[in-house]
Amino acid sequence: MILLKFEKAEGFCFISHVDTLRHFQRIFRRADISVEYSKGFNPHMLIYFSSPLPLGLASKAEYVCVATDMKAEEFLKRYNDNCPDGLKGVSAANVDKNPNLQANVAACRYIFAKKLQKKNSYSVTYEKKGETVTETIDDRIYSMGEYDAVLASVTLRPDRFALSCSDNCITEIVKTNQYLKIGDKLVDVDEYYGL
Amino acid sequence: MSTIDKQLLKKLLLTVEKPSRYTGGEFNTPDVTKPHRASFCFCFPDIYEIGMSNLGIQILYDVINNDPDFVAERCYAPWVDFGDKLKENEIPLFSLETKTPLKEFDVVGFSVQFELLYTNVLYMLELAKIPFYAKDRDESYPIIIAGGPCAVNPEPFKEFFDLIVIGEGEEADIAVLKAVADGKEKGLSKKEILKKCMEIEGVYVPSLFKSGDKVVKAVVDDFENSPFPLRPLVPNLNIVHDRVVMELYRGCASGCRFCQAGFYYRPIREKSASRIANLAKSAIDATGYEELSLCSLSTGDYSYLRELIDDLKDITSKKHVNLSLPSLRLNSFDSDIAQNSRRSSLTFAPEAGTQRLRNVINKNITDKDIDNIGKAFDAGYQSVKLYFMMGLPSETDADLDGIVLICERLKNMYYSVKRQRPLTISVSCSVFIPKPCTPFQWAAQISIDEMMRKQEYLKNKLRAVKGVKFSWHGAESSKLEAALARGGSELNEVILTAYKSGSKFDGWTEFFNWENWLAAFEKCGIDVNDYSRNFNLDEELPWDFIDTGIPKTYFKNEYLKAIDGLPTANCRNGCNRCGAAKLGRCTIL
Repeated sequence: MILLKFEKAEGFCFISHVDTLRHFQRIFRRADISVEYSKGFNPHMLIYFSSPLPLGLASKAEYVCVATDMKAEEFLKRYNDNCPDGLKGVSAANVDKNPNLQANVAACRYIFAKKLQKKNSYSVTYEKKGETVTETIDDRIYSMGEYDAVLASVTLRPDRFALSCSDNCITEIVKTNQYLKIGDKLVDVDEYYGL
Repeated sequence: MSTIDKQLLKKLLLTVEKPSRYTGGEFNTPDVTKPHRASFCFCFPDIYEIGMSNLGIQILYDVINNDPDFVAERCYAPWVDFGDKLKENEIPLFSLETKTPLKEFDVVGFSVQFELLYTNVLYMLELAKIPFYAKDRDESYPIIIAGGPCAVNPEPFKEFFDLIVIGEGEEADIAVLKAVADGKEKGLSKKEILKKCMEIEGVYVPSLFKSGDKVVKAVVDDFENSPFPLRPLVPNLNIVHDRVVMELYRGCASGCRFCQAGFYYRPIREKSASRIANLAKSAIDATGYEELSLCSLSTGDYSYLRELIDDLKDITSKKHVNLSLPSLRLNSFDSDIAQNSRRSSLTFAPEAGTQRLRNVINKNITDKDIDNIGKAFDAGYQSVKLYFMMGLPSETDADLDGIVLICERLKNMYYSVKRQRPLTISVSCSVFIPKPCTPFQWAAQISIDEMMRKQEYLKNKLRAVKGVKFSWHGAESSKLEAALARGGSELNEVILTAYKSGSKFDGWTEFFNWENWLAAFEKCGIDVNDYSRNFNLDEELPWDFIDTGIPKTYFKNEYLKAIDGLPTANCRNGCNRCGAAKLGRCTIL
């Protein structure tokens, strides 16, 4: 199996997760990368993504695990020769099994175009099923600087966080790192898998 | 060239549905920034998902961008949410690739695929801040042109365009761009450039046209070697036809008397199986698409279908690519061919319920052919879609009963053997719309009341047959389509009036506003029902000045045969001498 780190560039941030998935299947077919298929009536490629990005958010650190026995170096070259500019491959590594990043990534780091305000406590307000919900999010902020923050993955959207302490809109935010939680420490996915 | 403020654009995109419709950057986009003599922007008056699925645009886009002298970009009609944002923020409509306002291109070309898109042409012109009427546009505006199937009768929309290409665009578009580039370099006026363009086959310049002149439809002579995209664009969102599409042939040998495409796209020209297989291979390699579809008016009639499918098997199975075969005619259906496509549903178009009416419309399908569907059931299919028309010339309720009988016969056939799953039959019934360049161009269209009555009648009858789903087309929009198809230049004003009072996206049922259209017709002093009458065989028709290769006398003769219930054989059984071959050899002759 291959773990590929790729970027979802600014110009591609408006492409939904489902459409991104379709892109990957087509990239692999173009690149002549032989990927294993599921065995059902409608066989599909066995590829596993890290958590989907919300529409409008760009990222320097997205991951996909691909069921193929190709060597990482060859894989990355073929991938980059056949991918659209908005989904460039950064690095690739051979892994033994699917690292299931969708479940295992605990936090992500983001950078923001506009300065974040220091506060004693942060809360987000958003619409949920027609109702306005306000939540305190302090326990989901791992750390933050003037222009960056490490936030809990999935349970805290960076655009909502941004509104609690700045006026960055989602297209002014970029995801830069994803972390696993090992013991009580956050470890960068790149470091853990040698990417 | 100026471009749009990218930061503002991003903010706006966050607020609209499916923003990737407007961002461009598709894989395989050619270099549209190369030095060029003239620039072209294709405008498609419907949304991205539909426009990107259009094979004609893909071919022409490829042809122009492959020419060292020219570049082509694209623009699709923004959905109403984004259209409103553009207006509010005073952003002129721009091209997808370089975000350049349409106004700054040398030529802006609209593809007009169907009558209910006419208001959307005006919608796009207004968003682009370009005056509607050609006469109101000075030298600072691009040359605005149109093409596509609706050019078969351009009179209803001719005043919006400087030039209209009638027929196939592969050669004509390049010739127009050459004339524009030459004119630009020599400092010629728009009028002088248009005058030069009139020498190009298929080009109609409404403002310079003299009555009595003829325009001969443009036809690609060497279809076998005609250009076809080797590297089709790969869209960034799911489009309607999201697959590699191969065109097997142009024209159609069936001669169904209601079918415009079947006559307008003649002469019949087939591509060889080996050329198609090579093109398919290169397109799959270049796109990575998971599906390949074979397209033509009647795919089952293609002379080398079996050979082609054998050639394609290798490519499709190795790369997990599905092969889909649309528009099979009943009598050309072969179960082993159908088995190669892994679909659970089959689509057939008997068009009429009885043999008598099928003879009238010359849909040469017999009851025995319908029984052929049994082969599909045995091959594992459990769902059938059937297309019919109502309101065909000479139709009675007995013909509608025939539709019900067909459904019952299919059910009996299916359940004659024990099956695991129940059969589902979907019956879709559209309303007959008389169209130019067909033997039925003179025929009447039934009234809206009669359309409603027939729909009710059929709905009630089909309700009694379990497992049949029935759907139908809007009566009012069919009435409008007939008017816009057969009308003359008096309709330009009606279309503009309807647009100004709010009509756009008329092909979308949620936007179609019949009252608005009725008011527009009334304001212009025109009775919309006048276009549904039986046209007199001797009266002058708005599209008479176009030479499609097929003379009026041929259509007249076909119409008279229809009235007598006499069929005309498929061209493959012998030439029917329709005349189209004078514009280029019919390959199957």
